[in-house]
Amino acid sequence: MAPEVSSTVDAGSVVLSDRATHLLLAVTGSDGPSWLPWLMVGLFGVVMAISWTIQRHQRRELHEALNRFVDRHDGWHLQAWPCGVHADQLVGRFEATPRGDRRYGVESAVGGPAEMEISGATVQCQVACFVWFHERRRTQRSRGRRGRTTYDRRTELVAMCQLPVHTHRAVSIRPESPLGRVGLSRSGQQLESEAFNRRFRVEGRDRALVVTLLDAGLQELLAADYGERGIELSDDLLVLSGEPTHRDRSLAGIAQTYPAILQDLTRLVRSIPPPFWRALAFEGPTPDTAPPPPPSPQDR
Amino acid sequence: MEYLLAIALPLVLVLVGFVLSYNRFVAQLASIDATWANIEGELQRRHDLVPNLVETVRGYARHEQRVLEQVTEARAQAIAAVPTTVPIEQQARAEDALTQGLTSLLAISESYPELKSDAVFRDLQRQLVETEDRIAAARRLYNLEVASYERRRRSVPSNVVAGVVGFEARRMFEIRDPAAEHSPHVPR
Repeated sequence: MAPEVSSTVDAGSVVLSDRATHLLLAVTGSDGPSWLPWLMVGLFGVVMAISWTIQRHQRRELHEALNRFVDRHDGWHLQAWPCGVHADQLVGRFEATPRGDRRYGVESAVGGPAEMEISGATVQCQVACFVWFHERRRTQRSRGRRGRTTYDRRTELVAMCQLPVHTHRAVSIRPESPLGRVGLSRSGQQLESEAFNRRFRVEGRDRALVVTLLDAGLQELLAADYGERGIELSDDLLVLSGEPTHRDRSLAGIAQTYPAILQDLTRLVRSIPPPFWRALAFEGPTPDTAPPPPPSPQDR
Repeated sequence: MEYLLAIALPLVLVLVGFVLSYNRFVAQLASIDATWANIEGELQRRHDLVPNLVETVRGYARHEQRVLEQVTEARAQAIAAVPTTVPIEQQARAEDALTQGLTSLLAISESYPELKSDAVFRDLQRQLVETEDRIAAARRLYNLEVASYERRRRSVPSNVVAGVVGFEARRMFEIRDPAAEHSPHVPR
């Protein structure tokens, strides 16, 4: 009985092997030599392995670059919560941190204390640079078939500063739409500078606060140097989003943009006019106004 | 019937456009009046601060009688220019004169360290600067509203509506920025 069973098993394995070969031949669409499908599988595996290796190398390089960047600043470290704020508290709060359709979150976050010039005084604030990612649903419809849903991963570069004052009314300054730029569908608050109005859409419930913030100097600065950037204020957080023009080539990946966006954030805070801070009852650099460090910064 | 429709339809469209344009003018004028009321409120607050400021300075610097009288006189003129019958330019010049007087008054504190460190004087100066910040913001909002109104009043086709109804020109309120002159150079 035993040899019969063995022969049956052998025969079965031959049949299965033939079927697999036919299947692979059908996939490759070739009537070539029998080893060709295996070669294709092998090549596919090699490509996958190379891709995985490259990605792993890039991740390691980025991690090293982020560590090199934080080493340049005293008290900075890699963070899971930028400025001590969890991703769930950021999502949907700013236009730079949308919810998307599936996953969202913070990655490559670094942060720590930084000296900011507020109303002529030097104040230490918590600052963070990070990438906000979210996924957008995309459905491809074809005739006679059900739609195929895929998710696009989108990212936004963000620099965030925890201010020593609270803006009880949110202010948003975002790039104007193409139609708005030609003056066809301009929404939001219009200000004195036409160049500024063409570039930015300003929204804020407290119009007096918006006008106080956007004095002639800041309008000119934003129109000249922050054209495609977004600036948002909500409670004690100031968010600057969008890609800076400069890159630090000594760093790798997204970390290349961090020195420039941090510099842009510092310049922006310095350029905010003193009446804005006075309107928010900023009392100067007393120990009470220095924000505490993030509650649970988790080193990665 | 078709002829009637061909004549009536454009007429209705023109009428609807006229009404919409008219209503927008009315809304703009209401907004201009509201922002002007804000300015007047803040100017009034500034006028109210001046006597206390003058008295506080007088306590430390009796010899600066000329400056004190100049500020008091400028305040009286500024108050006299508040009614709506006074042209807006005249009111602006009266406020500028008061700003100039207050600048001289605050400059006195540089010569009197005791006055400069007086808590009441510092508090009054802070209130003055905050009030002037609000005046600056309200003035810019008012001028933005006036600019938008004047743009529509002169543009085609809304200029037709403005001409038929007789919407009059509004003038901007241009004054020197007092907060920039009176804010302390070092942060509080």
